Amino acid sequence: MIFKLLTAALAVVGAVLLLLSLTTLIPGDPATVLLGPRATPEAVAALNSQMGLDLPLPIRLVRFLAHAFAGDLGRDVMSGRPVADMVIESLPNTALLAVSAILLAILFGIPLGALSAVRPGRIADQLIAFLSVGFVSAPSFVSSIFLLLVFALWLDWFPVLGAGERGDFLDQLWHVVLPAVALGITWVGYVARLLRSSLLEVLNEPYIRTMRAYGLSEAVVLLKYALKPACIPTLAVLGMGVGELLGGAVFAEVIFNRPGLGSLIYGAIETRNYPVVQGGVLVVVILYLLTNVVVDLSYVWIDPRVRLQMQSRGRA
Amino acid sequence: MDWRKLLREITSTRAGTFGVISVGLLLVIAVFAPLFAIHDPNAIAPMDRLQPPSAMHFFGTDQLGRDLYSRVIYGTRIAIGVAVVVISVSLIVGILLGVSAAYAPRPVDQLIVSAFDIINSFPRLILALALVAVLGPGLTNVILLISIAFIPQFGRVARAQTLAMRNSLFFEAEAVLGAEPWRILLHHVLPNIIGPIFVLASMNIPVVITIEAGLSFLGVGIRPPLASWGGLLHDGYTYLDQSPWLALTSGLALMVATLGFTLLGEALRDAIDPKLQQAR
Amino acid sequence: MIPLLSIRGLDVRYATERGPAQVLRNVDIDIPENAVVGVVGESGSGKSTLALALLGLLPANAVQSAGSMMFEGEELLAKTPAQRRRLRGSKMAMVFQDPMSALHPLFAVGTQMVDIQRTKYPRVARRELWRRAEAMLRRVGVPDEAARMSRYPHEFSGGMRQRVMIAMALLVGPKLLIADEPTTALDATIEAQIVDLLHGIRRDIRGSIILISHSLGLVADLCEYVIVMYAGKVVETGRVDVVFSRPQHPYTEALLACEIDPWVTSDKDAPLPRIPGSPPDLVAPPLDCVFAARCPKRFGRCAVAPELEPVGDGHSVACWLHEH
Repeated sequence: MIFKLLTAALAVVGAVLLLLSLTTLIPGDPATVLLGPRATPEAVAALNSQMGLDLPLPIRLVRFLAHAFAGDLGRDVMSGRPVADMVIESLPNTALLAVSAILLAILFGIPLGALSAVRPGRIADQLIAFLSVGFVSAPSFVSSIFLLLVFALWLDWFPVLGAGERGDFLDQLWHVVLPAVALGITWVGYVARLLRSSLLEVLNEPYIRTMRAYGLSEAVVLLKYALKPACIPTLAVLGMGVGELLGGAVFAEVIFNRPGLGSLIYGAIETRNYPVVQGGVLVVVILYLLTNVVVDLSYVWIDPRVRLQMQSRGRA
Repeated sequence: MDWRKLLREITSTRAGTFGVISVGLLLVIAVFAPLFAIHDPNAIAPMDRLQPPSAMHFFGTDQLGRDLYSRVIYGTRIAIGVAVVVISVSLIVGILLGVSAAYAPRPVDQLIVSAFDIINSFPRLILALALVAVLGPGLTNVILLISIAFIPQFGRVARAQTLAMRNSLFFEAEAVLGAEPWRILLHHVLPNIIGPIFVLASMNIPVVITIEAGLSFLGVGIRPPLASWGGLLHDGYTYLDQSPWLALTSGLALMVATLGFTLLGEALRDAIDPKLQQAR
Repeated sequence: MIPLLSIRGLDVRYATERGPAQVLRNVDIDIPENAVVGVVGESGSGKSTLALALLGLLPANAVQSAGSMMFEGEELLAKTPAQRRRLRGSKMAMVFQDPMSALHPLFAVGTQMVDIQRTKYPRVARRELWRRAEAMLRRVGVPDEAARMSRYPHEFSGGMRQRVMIAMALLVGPKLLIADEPTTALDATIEAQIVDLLHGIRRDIRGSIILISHSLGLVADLCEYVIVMYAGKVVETGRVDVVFSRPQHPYTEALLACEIDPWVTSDKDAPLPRIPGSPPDLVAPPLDCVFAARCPKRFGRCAVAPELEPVGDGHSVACWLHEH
């Protein structure tokens, strides 16, 4: 387990290295780009030194990591605000969006998947399969725009823009519905299909046959004894999917004009605000790696055989 | 590789048939775009901006009066062209890196594997965004940068297979007999990875299409006047309240393309390696 | 005396890519009350399918047609699926072949042992069911039973797991217990322990036991009656001492000859006895006697499949050599 955390930490360092080195690849001088062609050499030099771009790469890396450890991710070039503050401010909105999307995926995907598995090949299964594939493949920003068009513009059921009033949770919920649906709908289909195939495999296992042999009803067999092992591969996929979700959040936030980590990064890209881009992307990477670690840990909780492996390895 | 049998197996399901037909159609349109487009996709006619579909303009017009239908047709070229080039590039580079890593001394191998891991620690879109943000938009940049995100997948498969080969007995025999690494690569590694690589490639095409469209939608990908579907969608979003046709047509084109390639990819996977079957 | 179970004309076909495979053909079986009946035959003879058909657990690609299956005087085939389900785990129970895969890896053994009792005792409290399960674990010889209840199957050894399976069957007190190759997946020393256990619990079961095995020795040891099957047909039945000492069917004879007892075989250099040929293709079953192709005693009559005929004293055989 420690090993996993170590590799994750190393990956973060590597990611930071990549990000930092990116700025050296910027064609031309970043400070000049930022300040414009009429900037004086002194102003350019000052900005360069402020962004730390005049130092060699290894030193920049160490400095950045040291600062990051202390919670300092640099400052916004425009406003001078600490990047860390900006990122932390943006997290709750993105978190709400991501969690809503995942919850949606689970709440709808699992029952639909189970339904498909119980009567494979029948009408419900075929319908669900058709809808699933259709939605799984549609890019989330396409779904977002279509949803926006139909439900906000035409039907006026949901608000078009924004994240809702601060402090008003219900209002925020109302605002998060469309974006969460847009993000989550791809996952509903994915989860449903994955669960369906896992369930079909599990339902053929000998231990399920034992339960049936003792007269347990199909409902209990399915919901208690088959669902648990079938959810394991689904969990893995969801864990990996968080990364895609974070990427998709960028679109959802831009399209629905929601403040959040995604729109923060995007805005910073447009204005060439590199510290914010760096800080924001770094946080995304950390979150992504963290979720992977959490998913790995959850295996231990779910599957007692893995627990045994880990214990014995710990002792060895 | 028995192509006819493969085709037959793929078309044995409705989904697979849909995939083959739609992908085939898209490929034809992409290659022969000039034959399908009626108007010049770049011809501006400010008088006719944001028109709904008509006999003259099948899909309507965009905010500069350009014919949407023709732009969507040419957009097919970009979507598919970019996807094919990206996958090809990352495939070749990935395989080369993977095989080299397997043959290289331990430190070099570790370095390459770490590079793969680092690339994989970024969600793909975020990586592409960050790279494009720094290096700027444009067709060539987009192609190169998206390719980077996909190299590790192919690299891993190639490396794993090469390592397995190196450890196998008959490989040792051939090495003893004096066969050069190139020969071994060609005769042993490549035939074994063709299946999984093919499946990986076909399943990733819709992902590339989505990422490129996404980048173009955000304005950091392929820019007008080049008619990327993502760019069209961006315009559609901007003028959503004035005319839904922009967004609808480009969005639908994207959906059909991703759906078709996804279905084809899955049918291919089911046909090539039933062990990988996930949803049947 | 009415037999506990009476099957007439059971036919089971599995749908396969090459066509339907006839796994059971026109099977007639009687299982007396309070008897231990062995079912022997090679792999593919249809023994396990018979058990599954009885329980109503045939897979989806199986087509079953039977004249009749009378259990406790009631026709099983006339019952609804729900009724048959309620019979499982209350009147009928099965011990499966491979205890490793037959127990759920993600649930504690105790949880599983409690849940399987619910069909028979739907209104009994969980705590009481847990207590009974614990006591039964002790009964079947699982040490440290209280702690074991909370453990997972992979924490048990093969022999222990099989004891758990047997305990589960005992807990529901079935009228008919089917043990499908209970010792096949275990090694010899463990097998001996399980055989002892089976002897020991014989009295605890107030019902009949069907013991499916390809080991004639095991059947000879544990059973009172035996049913010999080949390629989906019953070829000989009767009391085990009679059938094994005076086999009437060439297949039974051959089977007995193949049982190697190293302490008995005098000529250690003699080649191992075997039955030449291989079992018939179930997809295209022959119209003649199932065993004809490999039978050393076949003659002209064998071109037609013989039926099971009694040859006296509860002993029946399906062979033209003994027609009346």
